[in-house]
Amino acid sequence: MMRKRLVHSSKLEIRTSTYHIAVYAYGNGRHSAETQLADSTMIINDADSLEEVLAVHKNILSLAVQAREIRQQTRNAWGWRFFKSSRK
Amino acid sequence: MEIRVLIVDDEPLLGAPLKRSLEGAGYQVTIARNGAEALRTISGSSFDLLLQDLGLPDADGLEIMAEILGRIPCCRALVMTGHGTIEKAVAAMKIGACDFLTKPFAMESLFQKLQRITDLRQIEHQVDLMDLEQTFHKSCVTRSPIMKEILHTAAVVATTDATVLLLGESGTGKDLLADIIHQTSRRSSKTFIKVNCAAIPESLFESELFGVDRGAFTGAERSRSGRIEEADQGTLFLDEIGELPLFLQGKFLRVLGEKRIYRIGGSREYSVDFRLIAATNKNLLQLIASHAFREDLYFRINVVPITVPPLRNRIEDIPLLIAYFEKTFSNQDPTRKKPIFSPEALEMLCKYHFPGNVRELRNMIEQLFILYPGSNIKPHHLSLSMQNPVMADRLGEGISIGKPLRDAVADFENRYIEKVMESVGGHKSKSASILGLSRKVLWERLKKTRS
Repeated sequence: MMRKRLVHSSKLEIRTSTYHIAVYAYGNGRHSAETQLADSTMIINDADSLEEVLAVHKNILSLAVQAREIRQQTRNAWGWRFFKSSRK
Repeated sequence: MEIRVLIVDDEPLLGAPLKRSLEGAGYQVTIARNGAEALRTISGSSFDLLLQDLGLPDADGLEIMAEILGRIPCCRALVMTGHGTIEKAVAAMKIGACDFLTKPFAMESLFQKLQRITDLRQIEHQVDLMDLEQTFHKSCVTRSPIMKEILHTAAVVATTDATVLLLGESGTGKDLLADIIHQTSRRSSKTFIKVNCAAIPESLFESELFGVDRGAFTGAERSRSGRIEEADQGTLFLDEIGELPLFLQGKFLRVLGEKRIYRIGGSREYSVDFRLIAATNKNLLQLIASHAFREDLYFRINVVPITVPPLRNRIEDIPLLIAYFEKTFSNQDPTRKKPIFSPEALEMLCKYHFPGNVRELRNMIEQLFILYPGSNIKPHHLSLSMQNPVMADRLGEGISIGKPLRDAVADFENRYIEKVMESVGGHKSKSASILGLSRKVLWERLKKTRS
């Protein structure tokens, strides 16, 4: 990948958690916004300008968090069901 | 819901303070200083509100506004005009602006107008979302609470351009969900390009995805666009993305980052604007750990992950799906009578683990439709259709080690044919249908075995 330069850093609060947003600029004029959601989970969005990528990223971030919460709920529900069926 | 506002105004003295005030009030604000910048900005983002100055240095404000409203139909416009340009404001209202403000204006009157528009916009948004959810529920047969939550996420994600990663076992309906997300997105009138990464030979992958320019290699007599280019303005669905060859992952990563591609052997750059939906039944984290999948690509595709649960984890859907498939096959062939499921057969199906998920259930119902039209379906009718590990073990019983593979396979085949024949009471046509053989081939096999 091309070399990237940090051009923006901010925080966004979603419900009770705070997420850090870092925006990088690349040599070709493109920008990427990155947020670490968990230890091994990061999301990256790309766009042409800082403002554009920030708008896209902020818009998607809450959805990304919500999708992961549902995934966790689903896993819990399956785990519970497996546990229930294995006791039969 | 955060309201996204685009201010199109060339006056820095007005734009910057306006941005600060609006951001202070909770709006998410982007400024474009001229028409070209405004059009560039909307190519990658969506906005709820447009605050448009009609006097721009490089373009007619009315034309720019019409273009923006055309590209983002759900966006609402508020026009800012100077004194003596009321005719223009009236023209703007005719094009689709909701209201106008005459410069200079007090921030309070701007906020009042914005509030009115955002209230209306939020009601419209809720109605849109309800419509979308209804579409999802109509397209997906489910009563499972988990599936309903998943469909809600999918309906919300469909309204954005976010990259979606669909996870789940084979046969759970990931491709159906990808299709509905595209159909309910703003890109629905454009192409939906599906690429099954597992079905393309590695040597052809690059040309299939990126296209070829004439003379790129021996045999490339004509230039041809690739699947990525074909998905421009639409949706690219990469099924089985875990199978994407490692040497192409870096190249694809660049496409995602830059939204530009070069065909093989070509020097011309093509801009591409597509929404990516990827799907896999593999654990991508494991592939990353074994260096078979790039982590940086994973971070770009795993923006909104949606896991479709296996059928065994939503058994409440099984009777519903049976009814749905019965109706589908009845519509296809109205002369054929529906098989009737006994309570025991239904119970057996609800306890079955369905390794092939919804696809397996569909095939099973289709098979029962062909074999037992109008019959009362009992558990013994189902046993053969199920990929029952116990039955598979029994079929494998007594296989002696030491035989060449060909003989062992022939032994297994004969035993399987006999088992099938036994289950349908010796009926040759039914057996041939289950085995996927013609009646003649089955008859010859039986003759050979029994002799």
